[in-house]
Amino acid sequence: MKLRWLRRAFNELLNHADEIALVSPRAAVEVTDRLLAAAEALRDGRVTGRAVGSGLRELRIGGTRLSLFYRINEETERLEALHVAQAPEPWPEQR
Amino acid sequence: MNEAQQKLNHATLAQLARAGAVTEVRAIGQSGGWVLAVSFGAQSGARLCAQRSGEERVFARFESLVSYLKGLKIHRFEVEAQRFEAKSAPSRRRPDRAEALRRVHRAAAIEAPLPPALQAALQEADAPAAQWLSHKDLKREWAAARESFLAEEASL
Repeated sequence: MKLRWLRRAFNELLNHADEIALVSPRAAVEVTDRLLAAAEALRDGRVTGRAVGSGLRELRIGGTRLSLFYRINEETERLEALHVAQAPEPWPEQR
Repeated sequence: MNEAQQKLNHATLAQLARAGAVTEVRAIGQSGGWVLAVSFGAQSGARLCAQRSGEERVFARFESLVSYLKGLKIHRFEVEAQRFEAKSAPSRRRPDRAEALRRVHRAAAIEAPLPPALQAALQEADAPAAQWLSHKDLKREWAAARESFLAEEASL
């Protein structure tokens, strides 16, 4: 399944990376890489994450404070990444 | 003077702060977060922008903004909260509403109202003018930003 990003979501991700980089640029890279890897794993079509309404799901990125909100556009059969949010505390590592 | 047209990024702000050249910092509330307006030299109210996207940087949480400024050793700043709208409006409790809410949560937790930032993203995604980026293009842009982060790390 193809994945596309709302420009705003990528800008949000860069904003969060900038913020993390104030403490550690390397951590900013690791956290962003981790989110992108999780987004890529969605492309196999397996529905993961918590449903939050309006057809959206929240994928919490374990070991980071970030969540990726996405939806599956049934018409275009595309995954659409719409929003990247930051929680006050890191999410638990996924097993 | 049009404040909105003036911008500065983190690197510039950090330099100015280190040089003691910042004369005023204002945290300006807006829907869903806070932006920073910085005055220095002849510049008044330049907006802090994200280094890589160039877009105005919005701090969703006031605590993040305070931490950010403390990191720059900026401990005093003005707050303009007039236009600030919290992510979720304060609720006025009503017994019937509380019961209704409990029912809603029991029946379908997923129908809870979306946070404003998520609503805005959804609206933008459904608009004809939505700007999309393929994952491939995103990876290309990220590769450039990634290099600059690693260069920053190496220079520390």
